[in-house]
Amino acid sequence: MALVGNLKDLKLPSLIQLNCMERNTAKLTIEHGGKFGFVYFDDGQVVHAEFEPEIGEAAIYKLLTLYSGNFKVESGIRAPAQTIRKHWNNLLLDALHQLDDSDDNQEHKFDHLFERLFTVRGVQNITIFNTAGERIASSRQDVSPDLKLFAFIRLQNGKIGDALGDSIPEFTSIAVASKKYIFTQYNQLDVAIEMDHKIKLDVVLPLLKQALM
Amino acid sequence: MVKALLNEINSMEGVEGVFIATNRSEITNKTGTGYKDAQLKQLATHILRISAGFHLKGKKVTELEFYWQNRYVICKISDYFALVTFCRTSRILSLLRITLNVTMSKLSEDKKFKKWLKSHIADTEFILHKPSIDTEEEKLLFHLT
Repeated sequence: MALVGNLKDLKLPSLIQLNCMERNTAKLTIEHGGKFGFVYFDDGQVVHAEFEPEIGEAAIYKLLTLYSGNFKVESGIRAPAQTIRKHWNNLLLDALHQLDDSDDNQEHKFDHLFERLFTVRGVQNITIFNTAGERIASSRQDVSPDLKLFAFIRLQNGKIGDALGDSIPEFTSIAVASKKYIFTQYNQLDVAIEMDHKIKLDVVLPLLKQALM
Repeated sequence: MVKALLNEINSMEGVEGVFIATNRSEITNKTGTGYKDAQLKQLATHILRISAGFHLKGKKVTELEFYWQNRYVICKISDYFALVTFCRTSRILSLLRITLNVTMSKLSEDKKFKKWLKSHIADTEFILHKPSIDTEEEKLLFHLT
């Protein structure tokens, strides 16, 4: 029987460690934002990985940056090729060092924030944008949010605060058909969170507030 | 009827005023709010602009809520008007939302209100027309249309 789950609950380093220590021969499939990644284990060693366009160690590094995504581990499946020869322990250590070094990269700067926000039920997508409507970071690269609309909402939010002699609202919730858009700020940056329309604001907003701290 | 409905909302504990604005941002009815009409009109304008912005993208806004530390502005939006409520406590928000839904449905069925409204409304995007928008808004709107 395949082991299935989400990286939100079980991180990739733990998954790799588990399979290697159990001396498994298996295929690990990860799906994130419509893209698929694969890690193959052979008798407890990581022997091959793919995450388009990367293969081998580079694919492992890329996969380790994912903070969410469905995974499946299927036992007994052998790798189609051997592209990794490093011991799994060294592979993981090198990859995690590389991740630490790249923490300042704009692309990954908000990964931990996204990770925290995705623990809140109903969060579908997160976009950090500036007042000109340019994307700073986004939790999903395959989705193109209406950045100019977000900037327009941000502008109106500021003016609403002005009209009432107050600051910009801490949270703005907009219900649109099947979605709720939550606008807020994080470290003086603007954040748009797309959520399922069924969420209860009274429950979700305190959790979002906590995740944004 | 409209006045009675607004009074009912305003009598809820923690509610500090309620008003109705047409989609031209004209304040038609208000109860309890301490703000000047010019302030309410300005507030309504920006609320309706958010709704109109989504409308440009083919999306219909039905509810808008603004949260500050100790202030909540809860809005229900229809095609022709907005019902805006000021509230000072989060404890009654669930009940307030239900009450506002009932009020919206009663207003939509009220023949007198609907008849009066007909002569005061415009198309949804009226609020985005020049010259009332500033250059920053104009620049962003250019990309939305």
